[in-house]
Amino acid sequence: MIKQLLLLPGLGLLLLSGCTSPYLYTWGKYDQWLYENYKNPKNDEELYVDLTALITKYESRKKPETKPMAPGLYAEYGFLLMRRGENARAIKYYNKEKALWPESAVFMDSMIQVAQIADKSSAKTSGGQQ
Amino acid sequence: MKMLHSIVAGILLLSLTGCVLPPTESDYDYTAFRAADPRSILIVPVVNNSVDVDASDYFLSAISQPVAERGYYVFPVNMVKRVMEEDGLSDANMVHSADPTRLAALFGADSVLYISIERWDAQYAVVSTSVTVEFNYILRDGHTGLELWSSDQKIVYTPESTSSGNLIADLVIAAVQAAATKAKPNYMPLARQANGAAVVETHHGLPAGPYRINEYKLDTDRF
Repeated sequence: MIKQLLLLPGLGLLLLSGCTSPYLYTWGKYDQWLYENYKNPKNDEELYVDLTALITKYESRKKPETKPMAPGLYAEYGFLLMRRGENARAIKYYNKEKALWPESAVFMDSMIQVAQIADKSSAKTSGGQQ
Repeated sequence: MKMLHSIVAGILLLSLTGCVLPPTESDYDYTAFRAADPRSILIVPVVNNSVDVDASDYFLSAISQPVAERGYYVFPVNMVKRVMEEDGLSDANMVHSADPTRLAALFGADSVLYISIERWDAQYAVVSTSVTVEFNYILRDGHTGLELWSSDQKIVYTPESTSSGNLIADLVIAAVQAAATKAKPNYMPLARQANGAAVVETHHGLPAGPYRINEYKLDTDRF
């Protein structure tokens, strides 16, 4: 009986922990940034600037306790780079997503393929690089 | 009138404190979910049955974080939406009626989360404005197409409600305090709250996924 009573507060804590537990990942203000981007859909610039700052800070981290980059953020960044014509850099971030999150491999591999084709054709059109 | 107010406040509290309420539904069947044991979730563009044309994009910004924080790999929502648009899949209704297994195979996803927005509106009255969001969530197995989980969340917010005596509820209310104004209601705090409640609600939320290591497969008392 006493044991059961002792278990009850523990259960309450468990129930509460869903709401109060700290985040698993480094998110920046991803939800806010996406919202702003949808409010002003023609302009990916701010999203690009915000993600650049977040990723730069993350990659120069010194504290080992820094939380891992959240699922999807490297990929979103790679996609923005691709849209800016920076295909080689895009591939770098698709590979980072894949390394951190193996579940993304199928999607990242097909995006890497697209970026490679785009990279080759832009090298051709810019002339003399083949 | 006063009584009506307290009833409204009571309902509001109930709906806002989804994560601290004692379990209400212990008979939700997780058999299919536990058997499928998905690691990744593809959130496809949202079907919008509300009166606000912008709701589906706005909603999308508030869904990744709560689902990923349950311990699943969540595909990048904005990128997925843009890639689908480029492939001629810009119509969410079309995406929702497509074969989930083919969709999942394209992305290598274990499961696909379909969400529809049922309400996203403000009702203006003489004394108070109430803002309502309502979402319907269905998770399907990416390999079989079978339903693994579903939820409905409705939040009605009326700014008149004040202190409830419950600290956590008060914090939530404070967070959405700015949500309803006559000029332009801000739905985002309500959308975030609904999504959070949908996934953590005891006996009806999403069980912890593989990246929530300390709870993964150990939370059968809650889900």
